[in-house]
Amino acid sequence: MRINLIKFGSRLSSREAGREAFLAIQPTLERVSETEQVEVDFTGVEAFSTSWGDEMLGGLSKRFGNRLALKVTDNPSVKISLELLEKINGRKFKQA
Amino acid sequence: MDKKRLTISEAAEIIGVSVDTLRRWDANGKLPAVHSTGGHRFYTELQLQIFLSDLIKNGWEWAKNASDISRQMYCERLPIFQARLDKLGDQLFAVPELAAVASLIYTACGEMGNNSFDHNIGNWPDVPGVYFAYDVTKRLVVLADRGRGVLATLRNVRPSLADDAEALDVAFTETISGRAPESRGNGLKLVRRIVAESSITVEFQSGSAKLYLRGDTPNLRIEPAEPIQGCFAVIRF
Repeated sequence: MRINLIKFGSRLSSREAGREAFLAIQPTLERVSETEQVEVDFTGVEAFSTSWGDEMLGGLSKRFGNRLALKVTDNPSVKISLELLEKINGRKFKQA
Repeated sequence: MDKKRLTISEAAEIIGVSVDTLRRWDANGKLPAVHSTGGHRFYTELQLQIFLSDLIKNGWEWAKNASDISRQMYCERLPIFQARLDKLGDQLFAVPELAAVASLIYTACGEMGNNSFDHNIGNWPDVPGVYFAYDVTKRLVVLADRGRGVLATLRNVRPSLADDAEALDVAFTETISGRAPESRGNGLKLVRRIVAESSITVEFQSGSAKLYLRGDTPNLRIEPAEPIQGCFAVIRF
């Protein structure tokens, strides 16, 4: 299954908005099979913060473990925020 | 800019404060009016534009004294801040020369502004919300709040913190949250990383300590400053 982050907006900044987004995709996540990979696509995202990312990716990571993979872009805020999240969590995100 | 004379009511509307506030500012010299022979106060458009453009001074004075501020720059609640942040984003992303840093400026401002609300909700000592002013042509954003400050927030989880300077150092370097057990507290670390990898500079004051961020330096430059109640930040790009 693929989650296109652009559907939540092009500028993803607050923790509150990240939590709302994660809650909003819960019904969709129920349909993911036990072996299916979950791919998060950053295409089109203009701005991305660790706060927003922690709520969404933290939740997905906890639920899907190494079945979670990210399709990242070269947007500078995506790059820096993901690097910081990896440092904080002590593990790298899998690339799609 | 013409020299059209504006009445005190018109000036109050433009600046976003009450007529009483303008009378007070006239009396204390913060924004002197021209007095007609009949005793009426008048202002010029140029005078108001210059006054409003002093984003740093107005923000710092609010952080210091809770002075009256323009409605244009005051975000009492988080949704107001986020709406204005999006307007800033629209301006930043429209400037071709800022293409490489627009997302970083937007993200840094978002983290600092959201932080003010996240760490003070239900605990504002007096005035809630943030001062949020920007001028993209001047490459400047100013943020301020009258919250509890970084030291009081971090002492929730690190009671041994000695002073504002140590609190700032911890906030910008260690992964620690003032809202434990929630996994918060990384916003200011993100701001530091953003400064390290771009031409953006940040001055961030909390209480009586001020941090100067420029480039990628292992040691933070933190200096004593005239105390304010909450936090005050100047972002240049």
